[in-house]
Amino acid sequence: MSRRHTSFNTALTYAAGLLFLAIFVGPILWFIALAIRPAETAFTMPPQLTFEPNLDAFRHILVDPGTNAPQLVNSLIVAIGAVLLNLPFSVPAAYALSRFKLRGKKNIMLWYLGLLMAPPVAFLIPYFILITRIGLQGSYFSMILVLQTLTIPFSVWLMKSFIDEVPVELEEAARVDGARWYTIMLRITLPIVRPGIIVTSMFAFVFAWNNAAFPLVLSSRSTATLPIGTLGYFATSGVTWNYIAAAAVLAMIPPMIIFLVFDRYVVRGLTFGSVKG
Amino acid sequence: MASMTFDGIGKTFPDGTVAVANVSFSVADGEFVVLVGPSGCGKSTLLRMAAGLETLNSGRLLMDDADVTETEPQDRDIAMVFQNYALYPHMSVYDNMAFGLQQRKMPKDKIDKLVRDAAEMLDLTRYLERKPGALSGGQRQRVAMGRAIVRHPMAFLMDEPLSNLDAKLRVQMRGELKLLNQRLGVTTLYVTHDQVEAMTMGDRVAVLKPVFNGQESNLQQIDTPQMLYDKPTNLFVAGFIGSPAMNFVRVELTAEAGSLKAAVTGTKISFSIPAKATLSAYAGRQVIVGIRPEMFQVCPESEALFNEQVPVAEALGADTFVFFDIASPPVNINDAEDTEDFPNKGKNRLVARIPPALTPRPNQLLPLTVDLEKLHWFDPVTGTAIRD
Repeated sequence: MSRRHTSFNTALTYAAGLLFLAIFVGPILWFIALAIRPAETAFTMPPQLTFEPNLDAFRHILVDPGTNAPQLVNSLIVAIGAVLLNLPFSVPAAYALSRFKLRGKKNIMLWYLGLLMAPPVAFLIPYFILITRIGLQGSYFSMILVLQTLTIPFSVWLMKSFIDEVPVELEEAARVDGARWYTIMLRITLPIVRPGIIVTSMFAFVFAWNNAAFPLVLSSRSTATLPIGTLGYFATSGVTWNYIAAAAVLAMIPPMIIFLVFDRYVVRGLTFGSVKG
Repeated sequence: MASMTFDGIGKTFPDGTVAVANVSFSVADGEFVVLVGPSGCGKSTLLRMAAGLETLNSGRLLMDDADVTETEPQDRDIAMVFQNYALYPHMSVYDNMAFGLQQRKMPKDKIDKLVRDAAEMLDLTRYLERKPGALSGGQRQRVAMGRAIVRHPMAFLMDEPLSNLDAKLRVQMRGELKLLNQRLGVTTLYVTHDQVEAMTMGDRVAVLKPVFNGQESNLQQIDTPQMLYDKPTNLFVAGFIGSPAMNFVRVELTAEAGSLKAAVTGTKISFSIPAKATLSAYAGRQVIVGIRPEMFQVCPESEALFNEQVPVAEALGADTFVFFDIASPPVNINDAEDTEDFPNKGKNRLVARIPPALTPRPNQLLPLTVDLEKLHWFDPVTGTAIRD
């Protein structure tokens, strides 16, 4: 009886697992299929499950002049730049908000949260005007700079929660050992929260990587990022679904590589509180 | 090495809680002073003040007569051992011990020598390259000690450093710590809630109790362990020091020719003692008598002061502790003022230490007498000891 019960439970668990897999992985698989199937079979009814796969769409977006290959590079420049500009500001800010007695600390955190919740569209016009006025329009830096309005608040919240987990006694021990606050931050606290810094960087990268709104108004033809390129296929002459799918699949690859490489840090980062020295 | 003086120290937290009030005492150069008391008595706060990790609202803190009240912990040249050790988890044992020296910009070869000497002394040489996570509790404790001694500071501050160890290791480390202190001769302030630890380790012991307003003082008595045991200044110290704790019994005093008669409140038990100057002033009033468990003696029934059934006996091998009840109101030592009107009901459970051979059978009557010369006497209102 009980054994039967167990196997029923196992079956149920697997069924639920498959359902979730279908929900999360299904669309990705469908998009990959869309990228490698002949364009004209994209929306046939009933769906055509067998087809002759080809890499024409990838060849087009990567090799044909004026398409997505340079945009992939642009996206990398903007996303990596956004991470590099983000960390020197968000990590010390998170440290200060976690450790120092600051007037209005709560308000600052709420303000950051507000920035995160506000729709980016609301900032588009002001930023466009601002960036144009200071003559940065079309530059990589303009996008990297404006993306900080999204990545810094998020990173500060995330980093603060990691730093909060570090026992204060460690810093007190370092103070008694004769260390000043900056030495404590650099040599004690930050090395301990390294998994947290890596996780924060990954999220900042993905935020910047996925963002389409800011590059849409701030980039030029030569600095456009991959999401802008993908949007470009929604042309008046018709939607080329296989190109869109190929560009989308391409856009998924860098974040995937990053998550695979830093996988162990994600796990360590997310279970940080339980591994105190 | 240095002396340390707490001069009228007080600390009130922003929410109005009084943590420390009116604490004044000195620690002599090279002395080992233990701060002991129940939780909330301010002992850890005092230690953190000495470290500079906690600010104070009133009073001064002196080290070698220099006022360090406002000095940052970085500049005090003290070393602290934390309850959970607070070892840097990402550094090796070597780097944990070297960190403080590096902050003082000491040359590398000198740091190396100091770290290796300290490791040698604490039997840690084999573990120098390990991270704290790969050490046992006892080893981590030694690393925490090593981090303190390697700096040759003016004073050691220790915040319940043995409380995370198992009982056997704690007893062993207790001895080692004491030896280490004698060998290094460094002024040490040591916090514990364990009175056995306090008694065995301290040159002097400061007994603290929680305060509720700024008029009282946390510090009840600071003295050698033996003096605390033999001459406690009040009910709190008398009840806190000693295991099992001192028994307290309410008695009514009446003056007789050349002697004082003490009748145990609520019972027919009474005894006479020679009149003493200070105690005679309490004639006609209630006082509290303190009896250490070892002051009881098993005696023939005719000489017995107490002859009660013994429901519980704890045989420890060398001694047996017997517990018995008398129909007298119990004494609450924590707030002596409130107890005088304590409803005259309930039972007062006493404990006596007797030789194992005399252990009674359950619920057997056990005739006991008391060495009347050694009794402790306390004022029931103030709780202070009455002594000639």
